[in-house]
Amino acid sequence: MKKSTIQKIDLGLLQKELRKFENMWVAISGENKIIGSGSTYAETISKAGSREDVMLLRVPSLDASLAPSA
Amino acid sequence: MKFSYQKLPFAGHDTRQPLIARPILPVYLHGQKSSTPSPYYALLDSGADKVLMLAELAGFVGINDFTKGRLEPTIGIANQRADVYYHDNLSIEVVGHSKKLSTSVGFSDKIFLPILGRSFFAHFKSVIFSENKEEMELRD
Repeated sequence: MKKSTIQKIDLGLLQKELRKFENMWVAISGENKIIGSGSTYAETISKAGSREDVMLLRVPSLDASLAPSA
Repeated sequence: MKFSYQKLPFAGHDTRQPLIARPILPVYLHGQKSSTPSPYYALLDSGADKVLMLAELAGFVGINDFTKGRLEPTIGIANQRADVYYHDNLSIEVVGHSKKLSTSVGFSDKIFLPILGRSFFAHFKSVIFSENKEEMELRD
């Protein structure tokens, strides 16, 4: 995937959709659309098909701030 | 190489609440013979010692049983312990950066978010977080 494609992905514009996928994986296309989701990376890749311009995100819990340092 | 933070929903399911900007980077994970097929976001975390990944990703880089790695218990911010199993000879590729960066990666089924800790930072001359610009920079 090219950086230029990544730069088109703006998660802020997907906030309403992302709220539906808390603690799940989502696949986001270069057109900044959610094209698949699942409980695992593998399941989500499978649902997204063979597209090359797909970016995955594990949506964290949305009701708490993050301090995962370990 | 600069990347903008990505804004994620925050504060529950109330759409009136603001977004929160986080330093997440698009990366591939590479093994000796195979890789994750698509890039995914990982949190750039200066408080984490090492690179930590979800156990479910291990299979994509040729690791059939992640628990056969080197066990190093890890303590999180709330003093919670997790068994993390480290595997060597893996590499991280940041999308847009031509190099594969060799690193050990710890896998655990207790991890919920891919994390790029300071063992990843060591590949760069400096790693800069610009909170006011909501931007991070990896300098070679």
